[in-house]
Amino acid sequence: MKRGSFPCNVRESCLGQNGQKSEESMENIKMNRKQKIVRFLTLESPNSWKLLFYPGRIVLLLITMVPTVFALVFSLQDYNLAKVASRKFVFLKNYIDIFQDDRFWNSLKVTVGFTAGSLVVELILGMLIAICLSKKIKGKGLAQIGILLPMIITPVVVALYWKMFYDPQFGNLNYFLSLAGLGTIDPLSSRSWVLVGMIVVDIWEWTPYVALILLSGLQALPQEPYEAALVDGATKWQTYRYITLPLLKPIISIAVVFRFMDLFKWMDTVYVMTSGGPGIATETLSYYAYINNFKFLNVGYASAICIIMLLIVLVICNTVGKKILINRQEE
Amino acid sequence: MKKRCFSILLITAMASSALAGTGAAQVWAAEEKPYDGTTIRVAMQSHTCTDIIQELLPEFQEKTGITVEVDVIPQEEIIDKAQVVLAAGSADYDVIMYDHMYTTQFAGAQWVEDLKPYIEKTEYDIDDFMPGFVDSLSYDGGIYGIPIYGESSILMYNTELFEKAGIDGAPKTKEEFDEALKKLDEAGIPAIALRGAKGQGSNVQPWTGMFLEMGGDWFDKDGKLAVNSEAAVTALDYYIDLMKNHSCDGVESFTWDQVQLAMQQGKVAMCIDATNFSSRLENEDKSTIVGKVGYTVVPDGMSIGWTATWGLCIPTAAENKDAGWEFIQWALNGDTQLTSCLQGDRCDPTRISVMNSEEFNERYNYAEGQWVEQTLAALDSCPPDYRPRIAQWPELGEAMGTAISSALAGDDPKESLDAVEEQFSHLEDPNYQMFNK
Repeated sequence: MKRGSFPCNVRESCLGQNGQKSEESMENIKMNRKQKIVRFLTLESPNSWKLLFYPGRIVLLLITMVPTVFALVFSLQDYNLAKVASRKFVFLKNYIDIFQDDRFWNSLKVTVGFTAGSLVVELILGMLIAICLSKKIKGKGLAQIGILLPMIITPVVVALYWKMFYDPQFGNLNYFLSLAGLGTIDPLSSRSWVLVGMIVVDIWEWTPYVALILLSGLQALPQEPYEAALVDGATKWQTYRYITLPLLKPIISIAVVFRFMDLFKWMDTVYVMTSGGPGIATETLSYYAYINNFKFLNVGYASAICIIMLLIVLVICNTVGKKILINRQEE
Repeated sequence: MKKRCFSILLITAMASSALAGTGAAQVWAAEEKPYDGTTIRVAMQSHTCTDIIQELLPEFQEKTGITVEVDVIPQEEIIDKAQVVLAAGSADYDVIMYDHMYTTQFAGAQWVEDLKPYIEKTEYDIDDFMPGFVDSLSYDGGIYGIPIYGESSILMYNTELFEKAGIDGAPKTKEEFDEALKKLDEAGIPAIALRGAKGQGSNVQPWTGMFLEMGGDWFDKDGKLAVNSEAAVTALDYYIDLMKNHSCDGVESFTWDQVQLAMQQGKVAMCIDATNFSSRLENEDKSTIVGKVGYTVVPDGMSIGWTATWGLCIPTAAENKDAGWEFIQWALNGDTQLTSCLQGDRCDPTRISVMNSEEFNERYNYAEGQWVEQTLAALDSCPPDYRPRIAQWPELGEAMGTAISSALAGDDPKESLDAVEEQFSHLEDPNYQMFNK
């Protein structure tokens, strides 16, 4: 193979020329340099990891870290796009204002409520679907493709579809309710129902994703513990409770972390379906940051909200992530 | 006292069908083509008048050699996009269409060009535009946008449902209106649909009319914000009563298009909304109530008609300002506007000569001329400061929308309005002209 033989030949020929005339030693150094570059590029030098590591690292830095640093700097400034002249550093003033802002606390409450509600239901439903799909049943392939559909559709389209579905005048929901002789409801304009209505949308859209992750975990489980359980005469529930769940724990944690990060920055559905209404009943952190930035042009304040969101996500994901790692080590 | 800002309309109404031919030095009408080969980018709201201008564009391109790329953006997004583009000082667009409520912000931050020098340079016939609309797009002596479409609001009613409920004729006063509500309730017909979704261009619109008519003003004598006045609470109570007890299901989340849809489908007996609804209510392809709509100015004592207009402006950072101005001149020219009205589905021109032309009156002869007559009356009485044109309006309007929406969802109206007053306690506008003097 080229990769193995070529550098070795170069090395031998170089070594053979060692300790001769100065002209030749110049040649030697040149050869050496060439040889080093070749070895570096063919991933054979001890430093070759840099070649694999840095390009990705630099791109990542440019597209994530640089904007984050900008956001951090903006969050310490009084920075309004409509009044650029009065831009100045105010240090923690934005953060202090945020902590005194009722609307921020409301949006945090909405975000937490939505995240918790969706996450729990999605996990339970996702698990049930994953277990069904892991069994040998007829039409399994078709079902697997079918449940993926909601996930593939663009979120804005999903939101528009559900908005039409909920429409009290012309929507399907109330049509079916009226067929059943029940009264009409309008989930999107009632404060007590709106969050439930929105959670249903998210469950519909993202349960397949959770199911998919859990299914891949289920299929990768070892068979031996199950055989042992069978020999010991464990019931189905016991097998599930004491073998499947503990073995699946790392996969569940991954599903939780992924969904949590997504749910926490929930924005598109709110924007399309309710604009945060009625009142501010569905105003999430992302949406509140959005209107501060793009409606009020208050970049400083919006950046501060985003930094707070980032901190919350970091802390929670770190905790969950560490738990996965520690569990693995114990195993 | 209602301000008469559009009075010139009535004076000249039906006066002539001749379009104002000005002999102005517009390049697009001349032989030479100084901007041949230029490409300009234009951001326009998705609207019937934009559709028809796009259709007519080849004519402009042929005359001037200017290529026009139009980005059509929905109403909700175009302002966000414009703000970002303008604030960034980007030369993305040479012409932008914007809501007159942002004139103060855009002009105050010097994001857009004062068009007065352009008008003078080319002797553009700005006097033919309805002065109320031009006024709405002006700031501190300069004209920052040329109105492309403009509207007020009127009461539209379904004559068939009115007959069924035993109501004869349009309600002219609040008493007659309340009487009609009662009759419609008894007949089991949803009485009225108004915009209910939150937003400065949504639920704030119908509420403001009641607020001003019931004796309120955005700022008091000393120029202090007064959105929690007694009149404001009375108006909000009345608005909530209409929405909760006399409307159809789900009206709380209605935007204008859902109001229009409910009306088109005959689901509701009345609506108070934009004057330009008529062309969609009277369109056989879209509406089930063609020929069964009555039009009247909003009842006295209940509300007043609103003012809304969109204009074309040139960003300060634009690269092809003169070519952009050529486009504006052509797009808003009398001939183009009349053609767009006749060929397209739009009845909200901004030129007096177009509104008064025979062709226009023939084409939009709804309810035997009732619509034109009532629209002119509405335009005549709507004040430019229906919503206050202050730089902070985006924030204030958003807060008002939220307060009205919260109250509609069950919060105490007074407390909701108090919260806005408190949030904007620093806000003052000594130059505000009071509506109820």
